[in-house]
Amino acid sequence: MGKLRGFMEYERINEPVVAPDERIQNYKEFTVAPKNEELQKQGGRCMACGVPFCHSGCPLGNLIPDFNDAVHKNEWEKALTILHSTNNFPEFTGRLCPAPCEEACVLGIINPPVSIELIEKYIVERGFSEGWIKPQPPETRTGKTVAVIGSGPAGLAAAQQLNRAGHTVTVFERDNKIGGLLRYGIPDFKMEKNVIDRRMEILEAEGIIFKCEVEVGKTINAEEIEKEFDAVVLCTGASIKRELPIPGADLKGVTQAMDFLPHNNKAVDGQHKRDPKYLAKDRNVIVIGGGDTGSDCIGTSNRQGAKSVTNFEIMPKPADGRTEDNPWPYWPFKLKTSSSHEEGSHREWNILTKEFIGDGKGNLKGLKTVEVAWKKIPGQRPQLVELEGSEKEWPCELALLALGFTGPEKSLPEQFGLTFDPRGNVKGEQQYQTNKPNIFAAGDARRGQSLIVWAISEGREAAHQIDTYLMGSSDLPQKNIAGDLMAV
Amino acid sequence: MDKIKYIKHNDYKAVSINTLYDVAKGHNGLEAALDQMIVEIEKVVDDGANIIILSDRGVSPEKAPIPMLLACSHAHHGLKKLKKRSLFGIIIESAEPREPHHFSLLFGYGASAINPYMVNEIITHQVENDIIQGISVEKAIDNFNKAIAKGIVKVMNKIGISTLHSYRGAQIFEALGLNEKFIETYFCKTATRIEGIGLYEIEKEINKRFHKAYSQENLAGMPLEIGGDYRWRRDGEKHMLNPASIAKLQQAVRQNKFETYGVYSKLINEQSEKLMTLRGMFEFSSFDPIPLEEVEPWTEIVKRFKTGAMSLGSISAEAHENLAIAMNRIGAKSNSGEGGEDPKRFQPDMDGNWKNSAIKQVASGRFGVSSHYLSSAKEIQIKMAQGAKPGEGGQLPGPKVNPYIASVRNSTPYVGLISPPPHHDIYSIEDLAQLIYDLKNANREARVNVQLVSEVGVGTIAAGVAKAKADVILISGFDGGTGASPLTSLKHAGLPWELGIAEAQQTLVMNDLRSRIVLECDGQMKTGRDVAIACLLGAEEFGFSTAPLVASGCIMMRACHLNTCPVGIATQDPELRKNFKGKPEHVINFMYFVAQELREIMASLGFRSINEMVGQSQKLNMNKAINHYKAQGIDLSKILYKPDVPDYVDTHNTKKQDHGLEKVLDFKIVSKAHTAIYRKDPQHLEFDIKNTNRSVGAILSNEISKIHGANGLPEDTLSIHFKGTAGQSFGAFATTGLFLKVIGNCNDYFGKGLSGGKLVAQVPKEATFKADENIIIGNVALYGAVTGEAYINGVAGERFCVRNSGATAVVEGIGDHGCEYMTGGTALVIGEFGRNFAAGMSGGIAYLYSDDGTFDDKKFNLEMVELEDLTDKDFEKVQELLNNHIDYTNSSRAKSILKDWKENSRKFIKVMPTDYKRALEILAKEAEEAKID
Amino acid sequence: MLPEKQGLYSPENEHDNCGAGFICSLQGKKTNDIIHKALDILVKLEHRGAVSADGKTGDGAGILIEIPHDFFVKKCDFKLPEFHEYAVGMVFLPQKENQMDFCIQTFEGEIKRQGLEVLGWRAVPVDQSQVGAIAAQTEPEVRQIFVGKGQKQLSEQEFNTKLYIARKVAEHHIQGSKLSQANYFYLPSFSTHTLIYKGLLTPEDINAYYKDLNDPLVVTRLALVHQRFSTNTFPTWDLAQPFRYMCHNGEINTFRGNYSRMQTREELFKSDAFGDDIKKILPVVLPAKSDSSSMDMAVELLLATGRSLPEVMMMMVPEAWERHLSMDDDKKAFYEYNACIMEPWDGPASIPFTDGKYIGALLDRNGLRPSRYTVTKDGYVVMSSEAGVLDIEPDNVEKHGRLEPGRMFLVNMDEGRIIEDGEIKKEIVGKKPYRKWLDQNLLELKEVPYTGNKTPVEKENFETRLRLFGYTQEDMKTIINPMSVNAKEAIGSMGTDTPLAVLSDRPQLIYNYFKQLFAQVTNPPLDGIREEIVTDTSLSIGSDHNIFDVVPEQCKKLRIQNPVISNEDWTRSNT
Repeated sequence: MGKLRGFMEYERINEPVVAPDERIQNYKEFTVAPKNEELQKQGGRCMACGVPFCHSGCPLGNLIPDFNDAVHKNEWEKALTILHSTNNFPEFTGRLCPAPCEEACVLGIINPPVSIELIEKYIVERGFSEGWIKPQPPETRTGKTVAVIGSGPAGLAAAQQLNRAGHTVTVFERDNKIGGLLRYGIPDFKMEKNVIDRRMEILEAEGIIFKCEVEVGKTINAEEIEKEFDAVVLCTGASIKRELPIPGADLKGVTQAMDFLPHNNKAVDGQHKRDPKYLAKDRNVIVIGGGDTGSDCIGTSNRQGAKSVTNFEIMPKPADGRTEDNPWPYWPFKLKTSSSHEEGSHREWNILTKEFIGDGKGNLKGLKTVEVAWKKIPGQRPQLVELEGSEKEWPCELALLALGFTGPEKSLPEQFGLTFDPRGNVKGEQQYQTNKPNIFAAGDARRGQSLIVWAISEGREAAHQIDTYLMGSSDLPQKNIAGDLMAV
Repeated sequence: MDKIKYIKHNDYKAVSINTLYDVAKGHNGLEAALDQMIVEIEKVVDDGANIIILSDRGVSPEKAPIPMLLACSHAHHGLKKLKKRSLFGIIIESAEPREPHHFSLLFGYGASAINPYMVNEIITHQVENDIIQGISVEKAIDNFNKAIAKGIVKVMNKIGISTLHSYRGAQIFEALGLNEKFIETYFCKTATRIEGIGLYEIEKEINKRFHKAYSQENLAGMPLEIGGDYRWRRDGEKHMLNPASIAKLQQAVRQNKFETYGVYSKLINEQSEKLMTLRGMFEFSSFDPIPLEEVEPWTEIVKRFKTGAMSLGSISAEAHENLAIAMNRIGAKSNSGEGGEDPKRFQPDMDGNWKNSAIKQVASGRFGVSSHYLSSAKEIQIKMAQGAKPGEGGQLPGPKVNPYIASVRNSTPYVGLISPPPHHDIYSIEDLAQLIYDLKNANREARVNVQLVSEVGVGTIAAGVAKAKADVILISGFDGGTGASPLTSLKHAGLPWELGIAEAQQTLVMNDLRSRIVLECDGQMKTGRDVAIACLLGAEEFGFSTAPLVASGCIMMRACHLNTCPVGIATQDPELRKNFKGKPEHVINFMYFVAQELREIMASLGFRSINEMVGQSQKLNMNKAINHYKAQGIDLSKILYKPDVPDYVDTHNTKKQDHGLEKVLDFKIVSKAHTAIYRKDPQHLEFDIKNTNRSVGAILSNEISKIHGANGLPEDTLSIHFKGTAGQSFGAFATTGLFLKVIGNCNDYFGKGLSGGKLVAQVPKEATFKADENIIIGNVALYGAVTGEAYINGVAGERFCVRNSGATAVVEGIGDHGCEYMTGGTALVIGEFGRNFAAGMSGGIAYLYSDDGTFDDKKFNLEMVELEDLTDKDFEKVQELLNNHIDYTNSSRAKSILKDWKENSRKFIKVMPTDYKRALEILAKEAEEAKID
Repeated sequence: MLPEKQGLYSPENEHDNCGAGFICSLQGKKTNDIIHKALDILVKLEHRGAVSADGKTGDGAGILIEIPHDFFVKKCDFKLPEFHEYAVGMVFLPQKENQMDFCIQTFEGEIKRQGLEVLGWRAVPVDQSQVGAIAAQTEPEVRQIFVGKGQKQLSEQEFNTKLYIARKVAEHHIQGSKLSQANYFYLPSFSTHTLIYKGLLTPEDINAYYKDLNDPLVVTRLALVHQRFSTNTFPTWDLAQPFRYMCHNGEINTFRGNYSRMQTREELFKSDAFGDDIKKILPVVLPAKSDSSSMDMAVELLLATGRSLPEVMMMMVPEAWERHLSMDDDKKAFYEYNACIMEPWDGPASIPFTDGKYIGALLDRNGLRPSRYTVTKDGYVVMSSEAGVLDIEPDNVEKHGRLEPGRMFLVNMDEGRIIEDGEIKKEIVGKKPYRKWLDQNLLELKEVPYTGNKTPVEKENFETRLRLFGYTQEDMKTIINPMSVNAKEAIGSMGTDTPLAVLSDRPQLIYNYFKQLFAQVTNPPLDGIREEIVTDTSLSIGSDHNIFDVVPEQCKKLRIQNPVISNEDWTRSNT
């Protein structure tokens, strides 16, 4: 498998990109496809480990050594089959996943890890361009019906799996287009939306029914859904945004990232014109929150022509590499510089926003902050201490709050009569079944805010459980987590 | 297959019997079909059929296949019961068999030929779809059949059988996890000791597969199951060393956190739920807690710990030395493995680290086994069998044999090394006794340890080994690691140590031999709980291999045989070796953690010391909570059995073996040879010798090695003449400076492990027979000789110079298999030689002489050597050797050859290993380049 | 006796290896000295034996000598016929008198049933103080029985057959009687020529225990000795060697297969000499005996079929003829023919044998055991596991030799000469037209023509069948493909840490519930790769024939060179 000494012969490459000042001129994806031969070499770096930690590090359990080997041998269609056997939508994860697999890659102990995500992306892109990805409708129908509520990655994955098992699946989406956060949360420069559309076409051709602008619980009530469908799966995501309840939070210019980004995406899609209140142009933008959403805000702000972009993070600046108490193969808490950061931003660490300052007219004018330190107390979580005399004011006309989500909206689950776990997520233990046997939950709605790769995994696992519930047993694949790094 | 199936011949009548059953009828259907099969066979045999083809062709949604092995064995035994078995032969036409193990079983249970038609189809499919490339379907199938035949030969050879004819129907297997009723019915007379599943569960398994096959037919694009037996996959078979457990163990030892180790050991130990090993099924019982402080300290306990035999060569010097340093620091023992050891490591280094492996292994390859090596051991281990591949020799692929490894092993760089399957000096129990005796002579201070692998009857063998005077017996589980092994051996040979250690304990106690033996156990031991169970079953010392490697950074690449280990452990690649990050502390932490976990268990059970705990199997129970359709049938009571013996019979080690060394002739020699040994002054002595004087020279060499190290004494310092017949192992490990001459004759193992000394066997002057027509030394002479010279004035037996790696020998005739596995040195044979000369010879040079100057090609094994004419340099060498031979033995044959040298010099031929030749050329070139630089 | 099966211990697993040797006078000189010389050989081989935990009980030793006719004439209080006209049985009997009586009566009854005459019994004088504590627990009563031919004129062969039947039937009867000491009943020897003294003794103690051996009238031309090293400490009296015709110093690895095949052979037994009694002697090979003891029983049977002792030995322990490129064709044909009847009894062993007229030894095909002999100028042949077991002056040595792999060393006692391997075998292989028989009967698979019929293609889909028979991706990638490309099995590393088949959740193939056994310590694993010349994977198929007959039909067999056969027999793979 792989090339015997490939990891010693070849260097890792990352995906080539267009230079920052060029790419911020538009919202297009800015990556450049490497040559096939180069990708084959990259696949040849895989060491075909006896215990492939990458495979364990991937929440989907992607058969990474196996597709690496196929790519190395120029067997792309085989690689695609292997990839699709665990991952319904590699084109999403190939673009958006933070790649815990690469962090767990054994080669990473000694050298830069295998470019797994890159390989993944180009396997599926090759598949689309060669026309290998075709609808695979089930040969027979079971006569059972399933409603999938929410068309994010979890919902779509569940729908495709259930449809394969022969059930008739209807996906409900309250927004005007399918995709959930994929469509409106992720900026186009990270994933252009035709990527969703082409997959949609496959799904529709396989026989999945999509109903947009139908909000279950409002347009159609829960009771009706339950009556009409043999099983229901809630994939509604975790969409309650975390607030920052400090003075001045109601000022104009204090904006939730998750309002800012969808607005921009719809504008890129030509659905509407930009509302000036969501426009960063010529403003000093401060993005509060150092995660992926924050980074998307930076990229978008720069593309809109912000005067300056600053990023606040309350936590200390992580180390550049792994620390001793954060060893391989676990997920590393190290400094991550995203492509958006590279496009121009100033980053502040250990900083706490105390107050939004208004200009007296209800508009945001600046931010008041204080530096913090984290006191370590053995056996407890580190405690935040404000440093006296470190107060500072920052000019700012647009503050974007990228603080994450606190959980799913409650009204629909409540209508169904479901219970919640202590963190406020829909309670659906490992079996994905809620307190009502015919209703299941998957994705962020069950798990809380997480990665796309987890959402797909949840959707697949839930599908297996639903199939079992409907048919008594299931042949849909299921992930075996014994011995796994990522034991749920 | 079609030839036989449709044979038209007056003498032969072939009838196909279908081996399918009604899957809808489940277990009853299977049972009925088996019975029906016997009825059918009887009928067709009565009608004159003499070839019965059992065929599982024609499966359908209604008809599932009877497992072919079951059908075959049942047909074999069923017709035997009807007294009609001798009337026909069984041919198998089955989709099942794919591994050598499968085929071996079918032959072992009575089949006479096997047609694996599914494999044929698969290969055809793979070739047609370009998965197998560059080869025709015919050739690929042919290759597969050949590979299987080779595999079967290996399986036969493992038990010591040469012909398939004798192997057929011999049932040389033990069942593990099948109940006695089932075995008695279908696999008559096969050992099965822990009960287990029967026909009902077997059917359930078929059913499961069957239904999955038909239901997945509808799931388009679903690939086949991944398998995962050899490489971990999430959806594959479970592995104990998986991402979670490896990561936790490494984290624990690096951060020195007992709590993290706790997480690791919990992952491993929670096997009652995961059901992976027999030990996982036990639970501790009859708790009788005492305070932890009363249990002997961890520093005492770890003295009973050892790391497993991993050779320098299979693992890097860094990893090897790391283990040695760690184990020496805590008073535990590391094991050299079979690859010899660099003498520099025998003394502590400047930093106070001591890299000497306390245990020195003696394996069939005898790499680097010299007097000095043995003298530096605290324990000498004879590897009778290796857990991962019992019955097979070790292998070290060529790329791993770098110049350093080669120098330690006395071999040629980059030439792959294979150890022979047997120790060529152990073909029986009394031979083992002899080797123990040799080693005991070579180092009286060291314990001799004999490594066995768990299998049915290992208890009996252990009793024999105890009587052969071993000090320690190691019982290894089948699951132990290895640097390289054929896949089927990894999985299908040998048994878990739970069975082996318990059987050894029970048998030794029954014999009252237990008290003189130390019992050790190893094989995938990973936690304190594993150790506790081994101890309760009878072990008092414990070996770890894989776990300390993981602690040193191993991530179970399973690429040891490829030399590409990325963490610098199982590789000799200088670049990769730089990646080794293991520290002695990591290994020490692991040992400490295990000991601590063990102490906690000891405290809960009420044992203050290991000695109290050995063999107290009443403290174990089978976990009643196990609720699994297959595991439920298992009965471990035989493992927990304690033989009823009188009180005076000790159940753990309490005394030492009596090796009876006081009568050894060497002591007499030593007492007279002080001048030579201590002052290096030349001395000449004479003694009478008898066949009961065995291993002469070993103690002498040990004394010299202790004082003078590997260099010994100056050449010929101590010259001794013996008159009479020397016993076995004359001149064993004789070191430099010794000149030992027997005037008379010698027995087997002449010059075993020769370490620089000079040996001579000379026909007495009074004798009237012709030296070159009479045998003067026995079989297996110069086995594992490292360096030195030997001049033999007569004929030697079989396997002359086997595994010689550096000695020079002149002999006047030899038997079969001469110079087998030779890797270095020179052999000059000036008389008859037997068949299979130079088999596996990868180094050194042999010169042969025949009276008429012709040589029969058929007598050579030309797989690895070429026959060449001698060069001028060779002639010089031969002449020199012949002159030496005359000087030492007064050989009339040598004289007559030299007398007409011009004529006779044309009657020589040179046997040159091809790899060796190539390596010598490379080395010469390197030397040339070095000179220019 | 062996302990019962308990815990994990099973008496079936006992093994033994040993030291053996013989000495004979080529000039036919009968002396008592030979006995002591022979015993001296054993003492010199003591390091090859073993001692139990009591420090005294050996694993067993014994000596085979000629019947000392004059001694018996003097010692017996009944009249003996001429030498060789009667048989002497060395009999081990139960210690308990009632059981002993039962055995005596049963045995005598069977002798009489054969029309033979019990001439009388003699108690063998023994010194019980020589026995170790462990051995004493199972020490039998030792007596000798003298049996005459009765009224009839019997040839030697006929007499031997009757003796054989009488003993066999008595053995079966007594073993089946469920007496508590039934196991004690055993005949170390029962012959017109030879007599065996053996027991659970160390070599030094044999002549002290058996006082007869020190009597100057106990003389013999030949003596065969043996001492045992059993792996276990549960040796028994009856398993001490030598056996009636042979002993050996190794291990028969193929024993399980041989034993099983002997059983199936019995299905076809037929013999005029035995008549209906043939059924009563079954099973010929008693269960639960050592490999050597069993082999001896098979030898006995084959002798009863009229084959000579050297021929029997050649049949059971053939040379490695299959790949021998330079072997004489007649000899090859003999072996090939007999391969259709009997599979090799193979294992590392040097096998001394004698029937009183011939004494010799044979070495296994691998040459794994040492066997050295010396012929002296004053007419003695000494053979043993080691050289130097008797002191022989160098100027008295005629020849030092060794047994070679598969070769036989034979002394014809009556002619007083050593017969070379070539000569013996030439005579034996020339007796029947084996090559002709083979040519006419044995069929090679490659010579079988196609009839044109073909197996129909399977109806079910390929993938479904793959799943049904449990194929995985790994099977393809790791197992099958490497073999079909490289013609050898793939190599792996590190151990295995997956569950045992019985603990695995995944449906397992039944093969995974079986583990291969392997050689360790008592016998060596072989090296079929480097020592291919002794390896053979051909098999013959077809129905067997009555072993008593030496007829062409025996070799009506279909022979396959590599018994892994492909769907269509590609001609190349079968050549």
